[in-house]
Formats: sequence, structure tokens, C-alpha cells
Amino acid sequence: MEGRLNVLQAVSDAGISIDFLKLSPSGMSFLLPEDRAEDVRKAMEPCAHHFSIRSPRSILLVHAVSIRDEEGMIANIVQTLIGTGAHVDHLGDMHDRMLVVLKTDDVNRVAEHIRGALMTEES
Amino acid sequence: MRIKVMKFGGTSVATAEARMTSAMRVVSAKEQGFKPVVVVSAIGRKGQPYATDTLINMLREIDINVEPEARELDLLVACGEILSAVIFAHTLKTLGHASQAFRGGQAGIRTDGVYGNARIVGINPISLIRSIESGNIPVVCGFQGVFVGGDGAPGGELTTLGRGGSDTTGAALGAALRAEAVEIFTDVDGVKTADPDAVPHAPTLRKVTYDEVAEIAHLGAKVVHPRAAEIAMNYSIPLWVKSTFTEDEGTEIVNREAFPGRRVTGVTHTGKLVYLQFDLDTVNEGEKASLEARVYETMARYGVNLFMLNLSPSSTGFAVPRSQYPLVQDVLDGLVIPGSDVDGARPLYIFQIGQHGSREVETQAALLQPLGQVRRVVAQLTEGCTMVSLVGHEYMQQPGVFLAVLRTLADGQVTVLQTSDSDYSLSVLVPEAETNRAVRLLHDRFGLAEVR
Repeated sequence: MEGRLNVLQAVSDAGISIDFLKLSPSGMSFLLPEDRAEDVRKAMEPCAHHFSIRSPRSILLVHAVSIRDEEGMIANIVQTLIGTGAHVDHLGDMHDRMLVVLKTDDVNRVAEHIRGALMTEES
Repeated sequence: MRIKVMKFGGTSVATAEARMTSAMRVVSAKEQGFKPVVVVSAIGRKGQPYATDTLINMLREIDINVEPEARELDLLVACGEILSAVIFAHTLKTLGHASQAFRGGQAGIRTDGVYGNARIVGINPISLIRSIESGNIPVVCGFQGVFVGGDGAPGGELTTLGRGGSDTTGAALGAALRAEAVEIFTDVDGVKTADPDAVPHAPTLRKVTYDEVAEIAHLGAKVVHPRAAEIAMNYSIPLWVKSTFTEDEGTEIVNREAFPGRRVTGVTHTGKLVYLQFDLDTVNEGEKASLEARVYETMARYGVNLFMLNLSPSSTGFAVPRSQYPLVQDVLDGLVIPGSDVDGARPLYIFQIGQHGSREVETQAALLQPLGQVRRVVAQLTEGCTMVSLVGHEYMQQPGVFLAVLRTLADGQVTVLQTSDSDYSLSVLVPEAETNRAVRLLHDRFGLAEVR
């Protein structure tokens, strides 16, 4: 954890806000504003950790009231997302929406697919 | 007409003394010039004679192998609120105030036909308005409505609204009656900055926004049901959470425009979770998506609630409530999915939960061996986890918040297994035994003892 904290310290010291932090056995990943990518690169250099920056990415919002209370709803949305064939970088959820980080090129196609697969007239 | 909807939870109607205290609050509102409309939950909480769980157990005890029909269950559990409403109305009468009890359907609450988890589709409160105009205090059963099918069967079908249903009844009636306020009475002073079991002196928040309270409720502190908060938000009805038993002013839940908010609102924690991380390294690149989709399709089909989702090219992971883990284990451990034929070889993927295969997995693997190459998709299993969440407004987007959370927990020797975040919250998955320590550390670090 100390190595990860050092990275986050460097990013924080550079005044950069991050989202979607996910831990993995060998590291971590997070989302940052595209226009701060170069700042992050500079901030990370002294840390001497291997890293890569992928862009462009967009956040797709899937709105659904009480999404966490409806049993199986989140799993259903994830299944639908995977079914689009798009590479999903990150997922997050709030009480009324799901947040999906995707390649910007994929966003419109995925949004259309989700509309078709999950939205009914009632919703 | 100045209508105020006053909803009383189970503990507020559990005993004659509690009902009298609750009734006096209604009388007080009437004396202040309001026309009160009361909503009540069933009498008492789990284990008590007329609580919803007790009524359900009466059926299950007959034969646990025979699942009761959802329609019959709704009829049964609705009795708890009917009993409560009649007793509460009579209590008001003994205090000299005319009162009438109403079932949800009689109060005009129409729902869809999903027994056990119905949604309100409309309210015609004409009976309540007539009752008020006749000088009565209406007392409405929470948690229930009526479904009138296309065939127009007389009387319709009684339905219940699912978890937190009485709060939803209160908020929905408030919207239909254009109430000046909806007050949710419970056994705590309001929305607190943390669970008092973890932080004994956690202060009561005086104002929170609808979004904050919905996020807090979804992440563990179910003082008011999020669906109720959402209804109140959509109809701009002031919503209060108050204690029946103290004079504390409680928490007002308001629009974001009316309250710009604070940096951090509170620290919540969910119940018991189990975390599963599936290693997809054994899966052919072209088949990873279909295998992942199969996992999530299975979880959706069995109605499993997922938390802390984590997708990456080499793995996929999520936490599930411990109560649902036996079901997850049952459907995923030993699941076999045939792969695609590549150069004459067709792998057979077998899912294994935990580092050591169960007897079922080992038997399956042995049986499949002659049919092709068996590849195991192993899920690393972490039992006994809890999700601890820091809830707040835009502060979550400030640089360094993640760092502050992780540094605080690391310094406090709390193990962080995974993280997730949204616009209003930042969550960490921690071992269950370290939950209260994690809550206290974050409560202290973000100065929540001083928040009001």
C-alpha cells in the first residue's frame, strides 16, 4: 500500500483530482481529466513506478432510480455492457445511476445499445 | 388546508406508552393548526408478536419446504399495519380526537401488480380529504396499496411496497395531498454523521440534501428509505426525520439549492459482504467477454445485489451480501462453460470459488477431463468484509481525498481490499473486524464530530 500512497501523494501534490480509483494485486488505476495527463506524467516521474496513460475516455451515465435496491439490476446492466463488446475500464454506482468509463469512440454505440436493451416505455 | 403527514415507525407504535407519545405528537400538530395525516408501520420490530417477520414466520413454520405464494404473503404481512392503524386511530379517539383508519387501498394508493415489491402508480386521496373535512385524523397503513388489474376485478388485489415501504407511503401521500411537510418519526434523533455503535457521540445533522440522504441510506444508514427521499425531492416537499422519544429538532432533508452542503456529511457502513475476484488469465482472449457476461447474467437472473464492481482485462470482481453468498456459491462454483473450438482444441471452463476446489468442482473436473482441456476460472474469495463509505458533496472530487482516506486507514492498521467512488461517496472494502475502527478513524480525520 505504501507505494500506492506515494503515487497518490504525488498526484495530490500536483493538485490533480482523480476518480474511479481501483486497486489491483500489483498496482492501481484511476481516472483524471485529460488536460491534466501531462501534469500527472511529470508528477509520477520521481516515483519510479511503471505506469501508462490511456485516452481518450468518457463517462457514460446509466440512470436508474434505487439501482442498488433492485435485486440483480446492477448485474443486468453490467451483462448488457459486456455484451456490447466494448472495453469497460471502470464502473461505479450511486443511488440513482451507474457510471461507466469507456473509450470515447465506443460511448454512443454503447449508449444506444443500452437504450435498446434496458429501457422500456415505462422507464 | 395545511396538511402534515406524520409517519411513525415500528418502535414508535410498539407499546401502549410509545403509541401514546406518538399520538400526543399528532395532537400537538393539530393544535398548531395542521391537518395531520398519520402513516404507521407494523407494531414492533423483528421477533415481536405483530412484526412483519413474525407474521411471515407463521407461514414458514408450517413447512419450510413449501414457499408461500407472494399474493398470500402480502395479505398476511399487511395485517401488521392494519392492526397498527386501527389501534393508533383508537388511541387518538381516547384522547378526544376523531380518527379513521385506512388500508392503503382505501387511502387511494394504487400500485402495479408486483406482490412484495409493488411500486405506486398513482394516488387518489379523495377518501382522506373527505375524512379530514369531516374532522377526522386519518391513520393510513404504511407499506401497502392495491393493484386493480385490467379486468377490473372488484376491490383489486392488496399489494405491499417492499423494504422501507412505510416511508414511501408517507412521502407519496405528502406529494398527493400537497402537504406542507412530511415527518418520519423513528427511535433516533435524525440522520447522524455515523452509526452511534461505532461513534457513540456522532452528532445529528440539522440539514442534509435529498441526494446525500439517498446516498447515505443506500450505503448503510437506513434512517429514511431512499425511495421516500426521492419522492420528496421530486415533489419539493420538506422532509424531516425526528425522534418520537426526544425533543431534538431532528434532521431536515432539503433541495440542494436550499443548502449548498458541507465538505463531508458522514461515514456509513453496510452489512456483511463477501468479495469475489475472478482471475480470467486462463481464459482465451476472445472468450473473456462471453464468460464475464455469463457470470453477470447469472447474478442478474438470481437477483444478486452487487457492490464494489471491478472490471479489468485480466479479472472481474464484486462483493455480494453474505446472505446471498450461499446462492452465489451454489450457482457459480462448479459452473461449466464450453469454450470455442480453436485449432481443433475446445477448452472447458470450470468456475471454482476459493483457492481449493470443492468436492463438486473436483468431481466435475475429473468427469470432464476426457472430453477436452479443462481450465479453471478461480475466484479469490474474501469472506467477512464491510463497505465503509465517506459521503459528501463535491468534496469527493477535490485532489487528495482518496489519499487522505487511504493514508488514514493505513496509519490506523486497517486493511483496504478495494475502493470505489461516485460523485457523492468514496467507499472502501475492509475486513469486517476492522469496520468500527475504520469508521472512527475517518470520522475523526474529516472532523465530523464538529459537523452540524
